[in-house]
Amino acid sequence: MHARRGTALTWRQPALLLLSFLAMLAAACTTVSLVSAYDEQTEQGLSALYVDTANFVERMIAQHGQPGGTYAANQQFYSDAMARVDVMIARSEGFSVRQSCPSTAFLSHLTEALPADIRGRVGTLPPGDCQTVVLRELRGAYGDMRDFHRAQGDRGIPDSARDIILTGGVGSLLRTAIAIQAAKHAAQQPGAR
Amino acid sequence: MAVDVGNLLQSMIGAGEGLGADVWNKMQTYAVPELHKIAVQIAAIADHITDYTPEGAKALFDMQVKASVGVIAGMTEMTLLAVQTAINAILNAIRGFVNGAIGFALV
Repeated sequence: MHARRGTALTWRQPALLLLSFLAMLAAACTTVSLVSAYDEQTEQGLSALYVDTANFVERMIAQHGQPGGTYAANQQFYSDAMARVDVMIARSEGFSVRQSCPSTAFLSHLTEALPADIRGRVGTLPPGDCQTVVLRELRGAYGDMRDFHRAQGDRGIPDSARDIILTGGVGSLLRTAIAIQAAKHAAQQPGAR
Repeated sequence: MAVDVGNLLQSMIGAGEGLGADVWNKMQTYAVPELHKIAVQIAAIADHITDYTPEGAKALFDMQVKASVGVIAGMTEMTLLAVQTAINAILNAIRGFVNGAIGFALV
């Protein structure tokens, strides 16, 4: 009788230990957060900004070489666009769960593959988590677009710049930022894996 | 001045291999097409250089560099999201196992 009780205890102890460990693990880590949550306001803001930017570029191309297509006549667009991205950066920083983006290793490999004179222009990743980095790069790209428009003087934005701005450049960053929000939204749906 | 889009893209993809095969494979479905678009636009700046002032061309190039960095950071964010989803699925399974074994909702 005593022997049977001893055997049962021997088997139960590791099982209870494992159960306790799993319970503690599950209780301590109910969910893990490696990225910030989906933000509907940011997704809507990005979509609206994409439409406004595409319309602006088309309008500038239509007026290229005319006074209405110069930077001087349209600088308000850039102030507005960058202010809208600033709001998104502030929201992203507020909701972030990380202090940095672990893409630094990739960036080192990327810059090693580039010619020396270009290498210095890539620089380092801006501060913040990866989503914030994307938004900071987007803000910087609007700055480049503004500098381009200003440097063009009376020429304005020619037709050949459409894809450079909207397919690459600003457009690529807007699509990336929207894709992040879409992926987060999808991950929040019940049954998402 | 002609830029070889294929070589440029290959340099960008080759750099990504330093991340490790698993992560890079997951990133390829979005990152490579997007990086390809950017490489094509860098070539287009050179092809239409007479349309732009020197400062204007430099600003367009800097914009493509920022886009490349942004795509990489964006892909990293989506990879972290995939890892987070997988970890939470495992934690859910543990939760189900623990609650089932105990007989009530402990966690």
